Amino acid sequence: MQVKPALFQVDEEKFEAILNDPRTVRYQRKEPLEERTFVPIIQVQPGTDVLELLGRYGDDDDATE
Amino acid sequence: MILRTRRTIYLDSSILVGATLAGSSHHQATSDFCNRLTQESYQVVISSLVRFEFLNVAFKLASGRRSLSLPVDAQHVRDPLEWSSDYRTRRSWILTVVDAFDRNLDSFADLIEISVNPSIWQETADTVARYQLGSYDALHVATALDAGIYSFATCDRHFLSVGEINTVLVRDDTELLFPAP
Repeated sequence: MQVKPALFQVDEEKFEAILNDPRTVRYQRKEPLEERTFVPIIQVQPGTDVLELLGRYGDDDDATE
Repeated sequence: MILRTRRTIYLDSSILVGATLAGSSHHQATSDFCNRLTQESYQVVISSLVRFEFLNVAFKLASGRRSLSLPVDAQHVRDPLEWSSDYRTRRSWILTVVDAFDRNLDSFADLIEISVNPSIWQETADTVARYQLGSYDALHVATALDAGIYSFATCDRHFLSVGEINTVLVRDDTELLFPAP
């Protein structure tokens, strides 16, 4: 039976392979932290279901559906 | 398998799209979460699919296909006919929101973007069959597993059925369980 690794554990072999894959793109922040924040871009009607917008089951659907 | 603890987490598109849509469900939780990852310099991993999912959502909203309000950035588009008939209007707005999305991604200290490859494609097909997920959802799981990452943040409870990942639920109606590593 496969045992799931704990939160934050990473399979180093697989991770290194992905990092060394030329198709993988890596962006590392150079600016000081205070100049960068995550900001909202688009205003939508209150309560708009983000999962439904993404074409998934909405929050009203049963999670095991 | 060599396991190591890292400040690394995979983000499903619902996190990034939720954080960009003010007023949407889970916006507060996802926005706070993204800012925490930024402030605490987490290594964030995404699929390039996220960009296309965001673009699709933005275009849906702006086109009014879902009878939702226009994005604030597009309020200058007073005449719906202008939006539907003028390529330059649509292009200008789309490029504006895409640029803003890029700047948000730039806020992370260390962002790793993984493209779809044959290995992920095969893993996606297997994940669809195993967990009965939609193909885009399965692709996110497959991308994380292919990269050896088991910490997976999402607003979508359907990922709780995936036994191979540690799902971190980021929702306005759920307490966030995300201790520092």
